[in-house]
Amino acid sequence: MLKQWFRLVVAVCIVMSVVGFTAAQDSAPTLTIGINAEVGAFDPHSVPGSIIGNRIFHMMFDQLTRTDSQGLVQPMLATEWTQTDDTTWVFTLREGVTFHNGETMTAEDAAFSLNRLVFGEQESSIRTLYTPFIAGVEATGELELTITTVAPDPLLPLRLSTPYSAIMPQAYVEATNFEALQTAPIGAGPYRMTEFIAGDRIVLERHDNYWMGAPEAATVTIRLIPETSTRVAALQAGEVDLITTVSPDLVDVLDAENALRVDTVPVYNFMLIYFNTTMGITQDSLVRRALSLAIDREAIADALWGGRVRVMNDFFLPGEFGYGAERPIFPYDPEQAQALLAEAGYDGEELPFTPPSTYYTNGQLVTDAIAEMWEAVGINVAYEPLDTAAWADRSLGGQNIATLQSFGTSGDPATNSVVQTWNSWLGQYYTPSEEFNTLAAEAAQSLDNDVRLANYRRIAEILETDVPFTPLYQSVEFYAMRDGITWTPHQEFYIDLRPGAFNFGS
Amino acid sequence: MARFLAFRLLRTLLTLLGVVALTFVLGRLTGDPVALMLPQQATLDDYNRMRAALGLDQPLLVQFVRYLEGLTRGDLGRSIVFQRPAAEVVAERIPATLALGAPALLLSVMLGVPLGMWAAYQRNRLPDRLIAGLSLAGQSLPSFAIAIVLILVFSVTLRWTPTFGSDTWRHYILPTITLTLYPLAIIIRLTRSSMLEVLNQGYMRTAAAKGLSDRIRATNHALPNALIPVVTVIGLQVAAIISGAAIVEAVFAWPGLGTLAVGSIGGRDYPVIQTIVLISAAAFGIGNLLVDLAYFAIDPRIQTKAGG
Amino acid sequence: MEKALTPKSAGIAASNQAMPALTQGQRWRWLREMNVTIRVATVVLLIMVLAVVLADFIAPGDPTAQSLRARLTPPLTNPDYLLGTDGTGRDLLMRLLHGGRVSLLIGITATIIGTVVGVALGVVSGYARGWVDEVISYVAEVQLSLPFVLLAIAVALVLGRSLAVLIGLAALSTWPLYSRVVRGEVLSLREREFVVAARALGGNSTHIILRHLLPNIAAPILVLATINIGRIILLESGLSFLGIGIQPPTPSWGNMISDGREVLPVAWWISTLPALALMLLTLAIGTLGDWLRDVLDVAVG
Repeated sequence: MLKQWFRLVVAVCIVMSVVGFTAAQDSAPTLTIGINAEVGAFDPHSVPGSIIGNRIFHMMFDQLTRTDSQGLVQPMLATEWTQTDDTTWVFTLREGVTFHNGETMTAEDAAFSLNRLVFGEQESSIRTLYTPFIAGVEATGELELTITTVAPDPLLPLRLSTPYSAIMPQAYVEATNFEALQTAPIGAGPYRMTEFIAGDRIVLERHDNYWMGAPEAATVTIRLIPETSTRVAALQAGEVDLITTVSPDLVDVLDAENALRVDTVPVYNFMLIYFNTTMGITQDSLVRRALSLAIDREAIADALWGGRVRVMNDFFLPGEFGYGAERPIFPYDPEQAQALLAEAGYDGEELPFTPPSTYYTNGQLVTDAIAEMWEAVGINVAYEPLDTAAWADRSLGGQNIATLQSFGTSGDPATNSVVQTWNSWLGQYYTPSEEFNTLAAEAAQSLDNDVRLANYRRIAEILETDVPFTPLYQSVEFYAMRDGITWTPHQEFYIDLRPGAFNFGS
Repeated sequence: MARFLAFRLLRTLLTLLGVVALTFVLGRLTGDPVALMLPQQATLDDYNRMRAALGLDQPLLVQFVRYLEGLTRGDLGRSIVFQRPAAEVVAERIPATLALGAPALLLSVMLGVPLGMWAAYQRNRLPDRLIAGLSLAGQSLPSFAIAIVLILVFSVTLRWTPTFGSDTWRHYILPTITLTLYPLAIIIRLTRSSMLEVLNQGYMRTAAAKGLSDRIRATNHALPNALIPVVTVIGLQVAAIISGAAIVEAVFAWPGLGTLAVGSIGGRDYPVIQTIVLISAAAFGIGNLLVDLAYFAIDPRIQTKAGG
Repeated sequence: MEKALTPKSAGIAASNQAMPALTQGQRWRWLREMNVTIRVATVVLLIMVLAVVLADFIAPGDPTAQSLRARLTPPLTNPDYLLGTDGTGRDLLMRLLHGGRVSLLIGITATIIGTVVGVALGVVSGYARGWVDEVISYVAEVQLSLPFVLLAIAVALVLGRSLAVLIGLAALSTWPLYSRVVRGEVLSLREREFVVAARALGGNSTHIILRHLLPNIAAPILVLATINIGRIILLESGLSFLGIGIQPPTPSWGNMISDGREVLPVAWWISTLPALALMLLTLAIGTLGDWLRDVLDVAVG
């Protein structure tokens, strides 16, 4: 009886292998991308903003403007724009833009889309990026769009450059129920979504009538591979062409492999530790300065990032208006840190340090190291890395004493978290002085660059004294890909596959 | 029999209610998803508005009653992450998990029961020791480590199998092996020891004395009795399937319930978590009911004991 | 996560006789029956237990102390770090020893707690029957109906990832199986002559449970407990993989294996060494568990 059983098992295996060997391999011009996280819903006007959303939506949707690799605003679905008074903007739309469903874009579509984004009935967490600024959107001609802002806002074209302000066809969106829209989005971007299997893949087909011309890859398959070691293995085995979010320790190994290449791109944000200035031992600015001085940023950059990140020397980023290129990097001086702690009368109170454990690439290694550096100058660190949701909850609740965070910018400090962020929930951790706010308001509206520069440098001085946060290093992203692919990663995490931006090579 | 079934059904419903209540409270204690959804620029007003929109500002009891009301209408809520009905989101994932879990369970039974029987008959001889070694090895490493080793050896180095995904039968090889090892080891051990126990029983000696052949003794007398605990194990595996799959699915990027469950806790997607728990608890209840019915099939003498 | 699986209503087919006192000859039978494998397993287990207990003498120092400049040092290349270092330059030998201590501590403590609670509830359940039995069975059933991974993640998110929470979770994963098994045993033993006789002679419940019921289920419980230690050590590593194992920087074999998996191509030793240690330990425990089962002649899974 046993023998019969085993014969059956063996027979099943043989049949399966025969079937398998006859299955042919297909080789369509498909680009397969392995990503670490997925987007669950595809209505850009209602989803939460996320890095992964940036990556994916940028392939499917176009909006009025875009930022180039220098961070400058360029035309996209709008060809030009003018400011007719302090709060009124007129955008001229591109002619002959077709949506994925073949309809031609009109100003009505654009007005409908932006109104839906800002004022629509659907629940939307991304909306908070626009509601403080946009007062109304109206189609004022066949291809003319008029947008009024709440206050003078020189940065409106920049705000409209994210894929969340995507232009969608009015008729289609109105005819489709909200839940159905989540898996059947229609936009004007280079790719149209044809299949979404949650937890598995997103299949995109080339939009042949794309206004820039048809993109190179006929099909793009985005595969969700959350486990980093598997994602790397899939690239090594040739099952995917490109992967995102590579561990910095693997960059050299993968780059050295014959058929592979790793691209490193500095992104427009930097990592920092912010402190709670209203409670805990971090209420004392001496303690905050000591904590900053105790961090050996160069050791972190060299050892944990293989020297691939730039240690911060200023509160602004290179390329950003007001950046102080001549400043030395933030100093590491454990002796002075200890002296400051003594001066502050620190006597061993606990410092809860609650960074997110997996949210930022390499984040946990970095915070492991920082916790140890603080211990080394005599701080009693209660180190507790948190899962992302718990960390976000704690952050919004104003309960962190010290944590890891990134601040972003879009090229001008007026959009920069450093200057603007204290109006948000982060205001619970630090209340900028009257002077800070006046300088910031003046700089945002002034047309005199000397005044703006002076104001931003003064803001940097205030931050230097107050130490509400301490910058660490500018973030980078690593993309590993098959050799031969020509593609330049974008500093906003976008995966740009438009004509000219990507090709398979030979 | 009908009374027994009715009693069991009532009991299962009560258990489901307990499970739902426990998940509801425990889930909400882990914090809500709103902070995770908002951009950095959001204000506390935005936060409160979003919470209100999702009904999370209500007292827990009110939220629970609303949820139960929805349940009676067959409405399991809308997924916060997927912005679609939670039932739909969960239902999409069931086939992948079944396609992975069912073969693993089937293989562990198809291989485990005969191997265990063989080991029992060969007690303390070479085959027994080899099989014991195999079953120990299957329980000696965490499944994620086994999975990663398999990928590095068979996919990256030898290029025999794909590294991830679920497209062809080849994709099933490594995850199925990983998922089979642990239950296989358990079933081998269990069958062996329960077989040994049965072989020592009076009725087996009687059967031997009556001159019945080895084969008839094995299939007609020993096996049915030895199978009872094995069937129980299979019933318990139904609940363990999501737990076991959570890790294997994560390593092999398998689009099943396990990854959805873990991801939904990460995103605090309460409606999805609750739906998964509800479904797996129902599967567990039904599985155990089937196990009890299987007892009858194997040995009609077993009495139905309510609550047993 | 893996679940230890034991028969439910079938119970453990434990030695069916009230165990008579062992004769002098039988008392040493177990030693004669130790073959080479068993002796090797015993020696391995003893060495590992000694090593983790004496960790502070073998490799004195702080297992969480980092040295960024010396990170990812391979084994046997630097006399300061005999087995190399991990991603933040922590000494792997020290972490292996201390991590083993944590893993064993969780395995043993959780098994003891889970066993005591499970046995106690099982005995009460089986002996008292009625509504007490119903309530205990109901609680166990609710817990078993919940996928344990989800329960564990939720609890760890609410209560944190301390040693105590992990021990509690591991114990939680243990008790329902014991209570089910023991309840079944007690139900059948309850009607046996020696118990009925003890009751008829006016023995009180506590006395009957302690003197007559518990000794009769001791052997299978011992075997189950041995196997359970290995299971819990695996459980802890699975939880580490899901990010809810013991809170770093405290090492456990589970979080060490999990931490090193992404850098396997550049630093194989970070995951591989603790994985080998864990494998040796679970193999030794499993081998001894099998042997105990054969010697004590109990049939458990």
